[in-house]
This record gives sequence, structure tokens and C-alpha cells, in this order.
Amino acid sequence: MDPLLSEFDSFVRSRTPALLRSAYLLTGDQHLAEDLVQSALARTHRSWNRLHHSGNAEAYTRKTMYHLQVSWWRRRRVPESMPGDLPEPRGGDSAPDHAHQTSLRLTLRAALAKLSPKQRAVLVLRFFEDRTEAEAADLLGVTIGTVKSQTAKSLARLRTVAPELAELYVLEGSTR
Amino acid sequence: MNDQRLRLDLTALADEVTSVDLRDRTLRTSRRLGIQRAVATSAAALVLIAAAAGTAFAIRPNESPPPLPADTPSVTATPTPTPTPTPTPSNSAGDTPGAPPSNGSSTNTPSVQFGKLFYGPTEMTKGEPANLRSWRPGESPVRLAALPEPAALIFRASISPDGRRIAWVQGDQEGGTNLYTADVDGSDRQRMRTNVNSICVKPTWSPDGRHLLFEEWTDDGPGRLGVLDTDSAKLTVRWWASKPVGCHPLWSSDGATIAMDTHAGVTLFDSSGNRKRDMPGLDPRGTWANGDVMSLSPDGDRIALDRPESGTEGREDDVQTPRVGAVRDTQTGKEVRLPLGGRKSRQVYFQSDGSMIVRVQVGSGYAVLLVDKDGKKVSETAEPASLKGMKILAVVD
Repeated sequence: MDPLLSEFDSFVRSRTPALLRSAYLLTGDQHLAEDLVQSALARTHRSWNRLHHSGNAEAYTRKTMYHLQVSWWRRRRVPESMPGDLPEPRGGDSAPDHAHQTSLRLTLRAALAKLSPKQRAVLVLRFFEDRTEAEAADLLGVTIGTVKSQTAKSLARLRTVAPELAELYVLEGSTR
Repeated sequence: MNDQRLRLDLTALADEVTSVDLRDRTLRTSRRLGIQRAVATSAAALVLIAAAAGTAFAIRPNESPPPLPADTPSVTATPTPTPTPTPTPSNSAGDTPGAPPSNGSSTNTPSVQFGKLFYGPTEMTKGEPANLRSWRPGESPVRLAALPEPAALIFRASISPDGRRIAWVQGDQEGGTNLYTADVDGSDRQRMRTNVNSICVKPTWSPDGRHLLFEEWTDDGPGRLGVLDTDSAKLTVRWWASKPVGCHPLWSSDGATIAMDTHAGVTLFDSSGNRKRDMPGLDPRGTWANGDVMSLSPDGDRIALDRPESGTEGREDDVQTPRVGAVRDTQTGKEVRLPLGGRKSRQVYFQSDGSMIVRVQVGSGYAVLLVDKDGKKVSETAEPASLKGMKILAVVD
């Protein structure tokens, strides 16, 4: 097998799970998340010749993923709301605490769906991927000021659409 | 503040996704992207090459062509005259004369002058033919030949150095791809050759306007590169002995150099396909990627390239993605400064005297700069609004 293909295979298989997790938060849907990651990886593949030894392949893929998500939304206005068929929660524990956790997760899921793609992206980058404002700005191709303002708007929007989460999170935004 | 709680809940939410193997789907998407981009990139061709080889993967680092024996002449079918397309030259409705020079340095000398610029569409409109247009600053744009496939004009056409003929590759109903030439007004259309690669290597005119560099298409995919003599009765082809994996050939006007996009960035060949050298400064890790060559200076010492504007990652294949043009020294790889006046350069073309036409963004439209060989602006002209949605395909003196 072509050594570059082998390297790319390895990159895809090792990084897909992490990319899918971010993509799922961005899209709220398993199939859309797969499409998003697949499309970003395809573009990475096309640039693999220059990316493979740069060490920047994952950063490039994530950057591409965030740009694609925003541009897809602009073109197709997909999903403003999360799809109705929710995946079964993992486990099967029916204890009240688990039910409460599940309920909160579904609330968060629905709340995220009410954010704009950029707001969702900022939240995912800052609070899921734990990126600094500078890193988030670089990945989104915007200024740090935009990341700050979008973060504040995202949290404010979460407070509005899911007050029950706001109580839990005491959302005020943060700066690093 | 309880950011940590939000983090934990996002993590729990992300756990809902089921991981799947996206390897095969990714490679299929990559191949589709390559074909869609049709062509403006070497990657597209490489993917096809790999697809033909059954691997669906095409990036193979720096293959050097072997030393070359003498070229092998061969003979092709005789030309097949076909009915000419309908359009005839005319001042197109809505075209406006070029605005008088503005912001120019008023040092326009007789030795450095604007040539004629040829324009084609920037994107494909399904089912609609695309017109070639020409414009010389100070005059009105002229509507020229309509090609039945916009893609042919966008990706697979080139204008002869004297501005009289156009060569392009067009598909037929049987799935074949044929090389045609015609006058730029669409008349005197002739089929020059069948089974020509329509992707990546568009037909490229020699400086004397007699020969065409093209790539054959075989059952196994892209084949040999050859130089077809359009004036010979039997349309003789002189085949390159080497078979470089490259795209977008450019032929310098002194005839000595052909530049192509390759794995190395840009590689320079002689007119028989012997590899001369790779251009430095275009390391695959660098800013410029393959598929970016636009124009070669008369002696091959400088090359005009373009690339997607920064901040457009992930949208490189979108024809609407803005691109920036720049000039680099082919010996050193260093960028040559252009007198842009703080504006963005979108396209750069060399003229036969080494001067350059630089298309710059001005608001929502464009202006073209005439820049002499030493990089000094000679004059500037606003481009007619009717050309705004088009891109420059060639500049001829």
C-alpha cells in the first residue's frame, strides 16, 4: 500500500472518534456529524501531501469542519432544531439520578440547537475542546474579540432558551 | 461560575455519538471533490490516476521522470471539420467601454502597453453555453465564441498566443473527450484529436501558435503527453518520453520552458518533456498548493500563481472562494513585490515583453494594472462592470 495512504488511513481511524464528538455537538445529529467529518477529512486527504508531515493535519481538519458547518448552514439552513428521534442513552440505568442527568442532557441538546452555528461552534471550542480564545479565533478565522462577544452571546442565549441550565451553570462566560 | 458543569454536560452529550469508520467514505468524497473541481488542480488528476489503478488514492511523493531517449513521432487521424458554432464577434449588449485610465502614473510608454485580455466564466451554469469575451483597455468588450460546455471554457480551453485561435477539450455523447480548435469567434472549428484527457492538462499552445501540448486519455486513465502539430496535414504528434504527473502546463513565450503543477509544487520542463528543475519555495508544507499556476514570464524566470485567500480553509474547491494572485521568481522562489496600492491582487498575467497585467479588486469590481518588467506600475484602468463575473483566461499582445 502507498505509504501516504497508510498514514492517512491511520490518521483517519485514530482521529475520527474525537472529530465525530465535536461534530455531533455542532450538528446535533449522528448522520450530519458523519457527513461533516467525512467532508472535512476528504479535504484533508486532498491536501495530505503537504499536511502529512507538517503535524497540522488535525488542526486543518478541525478548521475545515468548523468552516463547513457554518457554510452548510448558510446554504441549506439545516437543522435549526435537533431531529426528533433521539438516540438511546448509553447504559440502561433507570435510577432517578440517571433520569435527571438524561433529562438535562436532552435539555442542553435542545438548547444548543437554538444557537446559531457560530455560537454553537464557539461553545464547543471553548467549553468542550477547552480551547483558548486565541485558539478558537484561529480555528474559526475570526478575531479574539469576536470569540469573546460570540461566547457571551452564546451563554446569554443559553440562559434565555434553557433557564433551567442557567441555574445549574450560573453562566457568565469566562476568559483565558 | 460553573463552567466545569457545562464542560461535563457537553462531554456527556458528545458521548451519544457512535463512532464509525469513515475511511472509505472519505476517499470517495475526496475523489468526487477532485472531479468536481475538475480539474483545476493536479490533485484531481492524481485521484483519477489512482482510481484507475484501483487504489482511489493518489498522492505519491516526488516521482522524478527518468532520463529521456529521443521522442517518438506518431501520426493521428486527419482533421474533421465540423459546423461552426453560431456566435460571431459583436459588441455585447450591456458591455460598456473601459473607463479611462485612473490613478495611473501617466508614464505609459509606447514600449509597454496593454494587450488584449480574454475572459471566461468563473462558474458553470448547467445547460447554458458560455461565451468567451475579449477586452482591450480603452475599448469595449467583445463577445466571442460560445462553447457548448461552460466547463470547457473554464477549465479546458486556452487561447493561442496571437489571440486568433482557441483550443479546448469537449466531451461527446459516447463518453469520449475530444480536442478541438476554432477561431476565437467560433468559426473554423476542427476536431484535432480524440481520446484526450479533459482533466488537469488542458491543451496548451506553443509560443508560435502552431503546436498544442495535450495529454491522451486511455482505458487506464491519463496517458502520454504529446505535442500536436496543428498545421501538419496528418496532425503529427511528438510524444514526450517522460510521463510526469502534473497539471496546468504553461509554455513560456521563448519556447524553452514548460511549467507544470507537480508534487514538488511547480516543476520546469523543456519543450520535449525533459525535467529541468523544481521551483524552490513551493514546498508542500508552504503557503502555495498545487493547482495554482496562472502564467509564465517570457523566459520562464518568473511565474504567476494564485491560491485561495487566507481564512477560506475548507472552501478551496468552491469556485466562489476568492483567490489572490502573486508572482514568484522561479530560480529563488521568492515573491516579487507588485505595486498594488494596498489592494488585493486577484490574477496576474505576463505579456511577451515581460510586463504584467495585474487584476486588482476595487470595491466590488476590478481594475487592471499594467506593470513593467521591473515591477513599476505604468498605468491602471477600471474594468468594465460586464466583466465582473468573469475571470481572465489569457492575455495576448
